[in-house]
Amino acid sequence: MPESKHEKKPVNPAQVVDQFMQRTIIGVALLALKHAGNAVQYLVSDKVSHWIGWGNNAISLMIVLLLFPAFFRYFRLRRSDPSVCIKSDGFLSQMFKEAAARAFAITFVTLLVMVLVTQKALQDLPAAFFLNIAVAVCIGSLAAAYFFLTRDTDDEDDDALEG
Amino acid sequence: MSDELHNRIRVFRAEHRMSQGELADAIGVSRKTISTIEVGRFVPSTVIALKLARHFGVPVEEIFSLPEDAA
Repeated sequence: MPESKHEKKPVNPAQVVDQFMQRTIIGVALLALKHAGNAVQYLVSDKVSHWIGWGNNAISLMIVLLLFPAFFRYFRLRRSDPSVCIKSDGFLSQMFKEAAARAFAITFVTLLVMVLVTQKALQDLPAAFFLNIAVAVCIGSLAAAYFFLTRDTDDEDDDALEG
Repeated sequence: MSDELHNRIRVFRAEHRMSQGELADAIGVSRKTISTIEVGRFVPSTVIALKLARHFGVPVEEIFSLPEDAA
């Protein structure tokens, strides 16, 4: 029997996990933007704050649309093969761990600066403002560090080395 | 190529006529992991190094080696 042209290529679980991780990090970056927007709402006029609120709703929708297909694909794969899990020794997983370490350092310094600043100024702002700033810096620095560490890795050719 | 670790994955791929994607599928890692190891940007775990060696049927030190001037 001739081999079908549309025969389905087996899925590489590590590839699915990589895509899942990439999308999750983009979602995290958008979430950082949303928290930054929440914080800025305390500093601007009601009219501008209203528009930022709409922007935040749009970001929330984007996060759901971005992450849902990736989660769906990942969990469908896990259901068909329970041994599939986040591989901890691949390139992107290692870069994620390194980015998390950098984000921790940046968040720690930011929190120290915020403690010092709030002793002298900005005392009339609510706690929610500072919490939003802290969360935005924490996850924003994680996403930024991850994008920095994984930059220029998409152009490397998958050459078949035929000869 | 990394200053920490030299590798001959590209040579072995050429001998086996494999693409990065095919090698990645064969040892259960992503293509990006293979490409970043190959260019020396990522130093692989012992498990990945052993899987590569087992796949090509050679000792791991035939694929990976330290530079001559390494301490």
